Amino acid sequence: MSTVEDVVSYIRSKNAGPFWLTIDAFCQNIADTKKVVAAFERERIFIAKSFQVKPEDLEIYCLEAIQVAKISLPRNPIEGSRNERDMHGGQQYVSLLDIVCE
Amino acid sequence: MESVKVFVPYGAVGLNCTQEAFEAGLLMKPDIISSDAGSTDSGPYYLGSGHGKYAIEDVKRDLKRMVLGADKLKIPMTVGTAGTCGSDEGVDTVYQLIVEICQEAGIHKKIAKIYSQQDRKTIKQKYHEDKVQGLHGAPVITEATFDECETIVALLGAEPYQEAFKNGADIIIGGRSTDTAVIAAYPLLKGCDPASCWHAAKTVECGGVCTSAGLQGGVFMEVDDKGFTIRAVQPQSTVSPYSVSAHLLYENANPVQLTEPGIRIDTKNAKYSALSDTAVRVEGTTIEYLPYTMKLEGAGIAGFQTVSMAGIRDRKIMNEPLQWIDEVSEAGIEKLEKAGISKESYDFWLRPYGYNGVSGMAVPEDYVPNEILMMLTVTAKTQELATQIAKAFNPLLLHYNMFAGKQMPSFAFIFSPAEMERGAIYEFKLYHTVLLDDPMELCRIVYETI
Repeated sequence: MSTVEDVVSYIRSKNAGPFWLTIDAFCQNIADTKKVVAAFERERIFIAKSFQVKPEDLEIYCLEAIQVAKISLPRNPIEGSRNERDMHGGQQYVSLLDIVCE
Repeated sequence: MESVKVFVPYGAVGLNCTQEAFEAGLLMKPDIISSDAGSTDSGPYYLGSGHGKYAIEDVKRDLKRMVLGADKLKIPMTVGTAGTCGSDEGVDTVYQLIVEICQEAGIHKKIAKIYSQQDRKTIKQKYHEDKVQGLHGAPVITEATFDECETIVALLGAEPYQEAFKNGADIIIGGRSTDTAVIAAYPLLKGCDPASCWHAAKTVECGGVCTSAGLQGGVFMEVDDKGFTIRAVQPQSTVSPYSVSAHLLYENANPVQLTEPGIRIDTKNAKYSALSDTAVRVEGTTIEYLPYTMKLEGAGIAGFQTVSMAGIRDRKIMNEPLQWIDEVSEAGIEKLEKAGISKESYDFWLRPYGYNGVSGMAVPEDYVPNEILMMLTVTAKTQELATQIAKAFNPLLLHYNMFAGKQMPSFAFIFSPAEMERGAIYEFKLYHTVLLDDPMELCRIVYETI
């Protein structure tokens, strides 16, 4: 049993404008990329709950050409609001590391 | 047709690049030097206050290299989103620095300043005409939202830059612009393939980040009527189809499409091929023309903030830091209520760094930290009130004892005074699009000859 952390070679999160967050999971090959994308799809509700957004608002992309699994989602809270913990969104990927990839 | 070559030395003016990268970029004989200078990524303060993020000395150093380099090659230069947020103040600050640089070097230039800060009245009128639309994730707005914004800017597309070139500007200083417009404008004007101009500009907008040089070195793009080529400039650095294509993901929600004023490009059929270790060719990007919209960004004051921090190592509290926070919070509220300050008149937040300060999430079972930084932030309508409230919390942060019958503890303050006033804090309030009849409608271009 492997997790997202085991499978990816590099993962990052960043703001995509003040109202969106985007997470790029770089994989070593297409099979792993599909595995991570499938895991994100399977855990859509868990991920949405972790980020306090609606499951249908999660955009999940499988970019086979560059072997990247990508998630974009509305940012909650909005960047820089008084309850901000992570201005650039740079540590948000950590919430995904323990998701199991089958 | 002939190609147009653009040298992008920095990810943002003020971020620097190595001297050898800059010189290598000039040796590649660019037709123009362009760099973006801003972003919303560091939060709403810069837009709300109108001020820039980088030290003025750093901005001047980077501008100086661009101005002198462009002068040496007798080519134009563009800077977009001057002063981090692209406010009028940002444009004027960059203009002033460029005037100093030109005067110090004894050179003469025609400079175009493109302002894109908006007055509320104009934007309100667009709102009433139903031309202001929220982007996905944007808060719902009312007419009052515009009054709450300290600064509103509209993101310039390529057209105002092209207009300034047509009027003979050597140096163009743009207010808030899309990251790509400042770089795409010149090759677009010269008739290069539009989809390739925008795609190439998006690829290089962070400078050397799409190459192995990262923030160290700049990047070089060459656009023609069929596609574009990205080249590494920092000596010994490389560029690959992977590094070029992967950059489209960066800070971009949609990794395939890119929407800009009046256009959308689609990269799903783009082909990336390595010409060498230092050059990648891209062809096949397509473009779709849309009704002309500009993005609006607005930020306003959310209150004034005072911060206080105490370090805690006490082992009993390390077992139950959240309980300590709950009790201190309650004691603080009660104390302030007794002093006639209602709970509704302020916002406070105690965050335990070293525990779950960054995530706010539950910690693993049995996790006991060694030490914690308890950070208190108080936000209120005035700075005085925020500080008064933080001071009321002071003895609790220093001494609060949650174990009955034990002697009074003292926690580790770091500073004297323990309170730090952060001034006004800002929030993004507008991130909308405005539909226009004319791309030049919301910008003002002022020409100066020095």
